[in-house]
Amino acid sequence: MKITRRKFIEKSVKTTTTGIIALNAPYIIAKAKPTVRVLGTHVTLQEELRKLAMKDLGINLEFAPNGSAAVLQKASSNPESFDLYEQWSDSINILWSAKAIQPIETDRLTYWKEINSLTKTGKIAPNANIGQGDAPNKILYIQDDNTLGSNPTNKISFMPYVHNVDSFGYNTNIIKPGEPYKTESWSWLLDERYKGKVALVNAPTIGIFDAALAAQGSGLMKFKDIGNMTIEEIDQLFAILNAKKKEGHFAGFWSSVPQSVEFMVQNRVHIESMFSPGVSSARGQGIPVQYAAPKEGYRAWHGVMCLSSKTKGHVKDAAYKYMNWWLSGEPGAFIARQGYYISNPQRSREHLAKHEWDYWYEGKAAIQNLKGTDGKVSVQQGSIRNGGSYINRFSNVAVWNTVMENYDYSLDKWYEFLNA
Amino acid sequence: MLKKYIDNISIATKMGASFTFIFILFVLSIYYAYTALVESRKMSESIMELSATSAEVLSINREVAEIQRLVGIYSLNGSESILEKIKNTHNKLEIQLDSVTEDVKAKSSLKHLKSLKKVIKSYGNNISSLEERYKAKEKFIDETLPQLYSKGLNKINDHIKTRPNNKKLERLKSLWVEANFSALRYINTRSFVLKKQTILALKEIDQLNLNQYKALSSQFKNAFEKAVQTNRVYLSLVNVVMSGEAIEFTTLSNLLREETLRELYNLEEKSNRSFEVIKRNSFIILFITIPFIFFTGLFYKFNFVDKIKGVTNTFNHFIEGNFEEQVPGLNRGDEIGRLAKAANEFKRISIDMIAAKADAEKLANSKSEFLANMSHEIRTPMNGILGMVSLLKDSDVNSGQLEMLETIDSSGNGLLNILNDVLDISKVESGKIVIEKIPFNLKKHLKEVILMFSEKAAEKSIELRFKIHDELNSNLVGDIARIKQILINLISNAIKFTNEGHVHLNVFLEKANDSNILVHFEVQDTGIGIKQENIDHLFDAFTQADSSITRKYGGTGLGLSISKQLAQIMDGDISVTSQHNKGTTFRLSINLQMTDEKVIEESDQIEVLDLPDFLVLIVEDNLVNVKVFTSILNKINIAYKVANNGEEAVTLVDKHPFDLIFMDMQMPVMDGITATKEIRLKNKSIPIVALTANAFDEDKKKCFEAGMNDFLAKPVKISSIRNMILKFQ
Repeated sequence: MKITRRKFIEKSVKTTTTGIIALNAPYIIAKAKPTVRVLGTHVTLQEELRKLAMKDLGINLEFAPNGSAAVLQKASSNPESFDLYEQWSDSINILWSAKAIQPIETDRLTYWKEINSLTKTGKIAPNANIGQGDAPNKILYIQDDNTLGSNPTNKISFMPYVHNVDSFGYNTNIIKPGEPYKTESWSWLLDERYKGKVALVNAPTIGIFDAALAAQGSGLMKFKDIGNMTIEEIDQLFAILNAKKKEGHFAGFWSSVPQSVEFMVQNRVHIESMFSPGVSSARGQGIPVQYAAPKEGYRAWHGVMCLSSKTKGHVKDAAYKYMNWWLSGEPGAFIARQGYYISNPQRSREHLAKHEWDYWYEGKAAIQNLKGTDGKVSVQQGSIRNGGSYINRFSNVAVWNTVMENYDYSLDKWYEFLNA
Repeated sequence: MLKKYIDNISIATKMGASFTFIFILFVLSIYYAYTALVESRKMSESIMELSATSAEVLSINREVAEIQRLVGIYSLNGSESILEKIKNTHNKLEIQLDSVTEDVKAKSSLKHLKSLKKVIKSYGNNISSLEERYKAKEKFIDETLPQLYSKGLNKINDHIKTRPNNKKLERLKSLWVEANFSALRYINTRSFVLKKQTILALKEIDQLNLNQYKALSSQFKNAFEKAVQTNRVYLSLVNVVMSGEAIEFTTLSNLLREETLRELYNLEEKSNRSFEVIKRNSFIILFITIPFIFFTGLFYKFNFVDKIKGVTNTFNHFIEGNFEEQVPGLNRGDEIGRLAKAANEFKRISIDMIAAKADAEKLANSKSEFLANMSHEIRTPMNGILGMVSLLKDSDVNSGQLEMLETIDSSGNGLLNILNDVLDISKVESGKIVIEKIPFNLKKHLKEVILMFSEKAAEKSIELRFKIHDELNSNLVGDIARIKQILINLISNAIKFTNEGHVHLNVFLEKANDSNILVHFEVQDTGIGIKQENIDHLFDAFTQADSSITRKYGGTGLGLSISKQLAQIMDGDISVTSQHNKGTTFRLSINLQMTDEKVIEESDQIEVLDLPDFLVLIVEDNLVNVKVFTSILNKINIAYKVANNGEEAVTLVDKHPFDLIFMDMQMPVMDGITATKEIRLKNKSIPIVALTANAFDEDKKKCFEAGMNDFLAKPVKISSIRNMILKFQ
């Protein structure tokens, strides 16, 4: 399964095209074999996974990967356009209130019982701190009053699967590597030294927290609850950001993982908000990107797999098949090699070599070079995962990607920021 | 070592090498000029392309800004025409991008363009969903919510009318109004407090337990949620997604512009650099070429020109006869070396030749000397014979004796002529002839010459006459004796070889300028003529046209050779034209000067001199000669004493007051030269006249050096002795 980045992009584009064609005539194909249309981001909508799943499941899969904001607005406004939605937990409130998704029955999820405590309770370990904002447990269960809450029921708004902690990546050719949890800081994103070489992700639910953590880390302001900012706090934050932007501090705002890699590889930025596969890909292209373990803690995210409110019948059955496939071990091992965690890691452990498990999940030094899913060496022998083990990393969550109460207000501010 | 090595390389190779080097430099500079031209052309083309590209990029950027502005307008009014305009502008953008992509070549720029295309494509997809999202939002905000609100308010008002002053209903109405007000405000300001107020107001309505309003409030809440949601979706599309894309587009196009500018700058840098390189290299070529040509010139000068000059100078010295010098450059291996070797060979050959020439000259001299001596030795006794014959003829002899004396005299004179010819040719060959420049009257001398031959011509019944140009009446300057000698030779030949007809002497002149004239003497006969094949050797010594002629006509065969050489010595020449059996014409042409000087008339009369006190000393060892001399002096009545050698003469000079001494040159005991020196040492200024058979000019020189005053050639004639006495009386 040797897939170069170029092929990857080409195929992603092709897939998008196919998706659009399929959109125009979805039922023609569905008649022969159930076709599940998956809307999501490049993080999980990978061609290798699609092929693997189609082979394993005997169903048709159509992937339509796009930027996070684009897919969210598409899904929330047009549930007919997809069957499955794969993104992050901050989409849930929007999708749920837009009635774009339907409840998932835990009884139909084969590996539900194996899902670990992080999603179910918000804590990976008893002494871990709960991050602010929408921890996945707070929006997982569908309550009797049709609201989302942490009280366990057998209906859930999303199937928990891929998750990770995010921070920022930086090019160590230019920026001297810092010490995890000690010197590495979100404040670097606003550091004068990197002026003109900083990028943020163009998604208010995510980028706003990176920016807020940076502003707070720099001592420029303080948030009462960073997961639920007040109008005043938002105003203050964006005043800081707008001023920075006018000074030319930001080189760009990326809206997809390949774009973030492009920024780094083309030397457009030296430091930026990054997702784990972006870091792997940039490293695969020879850029020594360090994925920071900020002392302020990570911005965590939880992948959500949601079922469109409009999907039913044999397509819905196929969609369940696909969801169960995701937790069956191999996909978890696949994405582990890209740095993601799966909600039932033990099942994936069988599909990983010991040294891979040790590096990715246990935070141990790699005893040999580790290859990424593109076949290129993404981890050099002897290196240790920045931030340490799965448990260690998830014990240091500052905030979860969240749709805040003042999200709509922040949208306006974000727009102002983009155009500042 | 190196010098030797260089000297051994041929000049052709050396010159070839230096010209090749200069040629290479020349080609190099042409190459540089050419590449500079090509480079600058390429640069200017690239700059043109880049400028065009950056202009297009700028225009694209403006279009994007325009699109964003249009989207903003659309958000306010949802105008169809604006949407149409947005779509058109987007299409235009895509076309423009494609056109730029075709023009751009730089990799980094293409990368940006690729990203730009991706962004614009995605933007295009969003435009197509823009209308739908807008309508969805408008439906809830402008239709559903107001309709629900009006419906509820009407219902509440109607209800209040039926039950006025019902506090619960009044509260319901104010809550309904508040919910609607907060909802609208939230949609506009998006402050969560307002949303919360709406929710709380609706919740309170529910808590009023007015069952007929529960559904309405629930409907309103749903519509509100939908409105919020659709508004949020619309806003996130426009404000986040599309705006982000527009921003990214602007950023990328700025990067592209920067890239283009950087490229322009790089191009300029490159152009400057290549210009610098070309400039530097041109200077290097110049700096190499100029000193190279200069030093090559110096090298050529010192190594070739000077060396060749050296060899040439050596040649000049050799030609001048100076063979002391060593030939330079003999050790070289090149052309100069070979030239030097040739010079050296020339030197060797020249030295040999000079030696050979000296030997030959010596031989010639000895021949001439031999001839001179011979003629002297013969002439002295001849002098005696002829002198005695002349005296005998004057004495009392009978007619038979006189006839015999005449024969002796004629034979002797013939022998003397032959001797004179031999003497002349040897003089001419040894270059000892001195040409005199004496004024003379040509006509008079020609008459004499004709007269000489008139008797002979008459004997052969040949007409002999001469014709002279009138202008030649004036006196001329030249050696008339030699001219006469030549003419005598020519006329004598003409008469000799003519048996009938005539011999004519025609003299005419060709004027060069007032004083210098070219005189032609033509001797024309009607004799036997000369065959053409013999004419070529006619003037060679000891040659006659035909050896049989010598036998038939006699003669030494030296006459013409002497005549020709004499003519040439006098700056003239003799030419001949002849027709066999018809006649011959010799032409003597000589340069002479006209003069007004008087001609000294030579007296040829044998007159007794009236000089009673005049005493002459004759110094002569040969008794015959003494006899001849004394007879002459007696005849002209001059007193004399005789000394038999130089020593006697020196003694006698002290005893007698001599007025003139005739001194022989070659004598036993003391020769004439020594005696003269002795006499002069005694401070005696008596005129001394040399008597000598040595008719060479060299002898004359010796005489004068010794202190002699004049010179008489033997055999002496009465007239010359008489004239000499008159000169020194």
